[in-house]
Amino acid sequence: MRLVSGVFVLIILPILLVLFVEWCPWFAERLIRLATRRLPEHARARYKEEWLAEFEALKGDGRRLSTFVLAMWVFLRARGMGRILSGVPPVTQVLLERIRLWVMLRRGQIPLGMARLEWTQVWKLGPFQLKVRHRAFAKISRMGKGTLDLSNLSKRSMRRVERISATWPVDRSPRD
Amino acid sequence: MGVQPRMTMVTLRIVRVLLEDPTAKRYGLEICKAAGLPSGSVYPLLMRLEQAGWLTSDWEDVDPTTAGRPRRRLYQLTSEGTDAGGRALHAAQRSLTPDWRGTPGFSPSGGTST
Repeated sequence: MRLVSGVFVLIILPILLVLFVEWCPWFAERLIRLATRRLPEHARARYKEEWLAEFEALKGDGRRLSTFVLAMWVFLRARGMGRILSGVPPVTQVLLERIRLWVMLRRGQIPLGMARLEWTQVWKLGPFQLKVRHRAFAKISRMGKGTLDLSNLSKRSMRRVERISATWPVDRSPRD
Repeated sequence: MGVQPRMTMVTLRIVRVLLEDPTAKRYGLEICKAAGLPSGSVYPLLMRLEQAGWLTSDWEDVDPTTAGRPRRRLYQLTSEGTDAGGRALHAAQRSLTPDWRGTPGFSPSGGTST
């Protein structure tokens, strides 16, 4: 057993490391191409060209491992960049919104139906829109109409929602 | 003008590097090196600063065949970015500098006050 582990540490591991360093630029280039796929369509060409130019500069300097580090960072951050470029709030902001909703629900400041609906909507909407819609749904769910999808509301309902949202503060809405 | 960027320590480091010469055009890797950040970590922040109107970016004016390398994306501070960035940096420096005035036993001359 000791012989096997010795052979692995002294012979195989260094060979694997050398091979990895040799292949770093290849991995890096693939990672950059994958990262650009995480961006919205309109930004892909620009960032692909920008990142590949940076990659070429590092590769030209003979810094193989650095190319991999660059590509890893780019790959890991690309999803967040894609969300921002698409106008979707970043995951951290969404999580904070969800925690805020949960706290409000626990304190009895919002009804359950509204919290449930917003839990799903928070992924799509910005914080300002959410704030306005909180008030509207607070009133509607209290009146026994259940959780309404805003896209299905008629013009009359929308006017009502707007009127309610102008007068109904979130912190006074009763619990379901 | 877009949404104001969140002022984290990394953002401040980037702003400080760019403010060293506000008219200079720098590429991402250069900013990384100057700010002492890992290569590749600055692009989301540069994108946010660009969306906020603090930076503009443009392609480098070189011919890739004669230069022997692909053209780079160059970033430059806008006048708004220079002002806002300077203010943010100043505010951060002030908040990080301990205010010893009014502290018992401290005097600016170095001795102890009574």
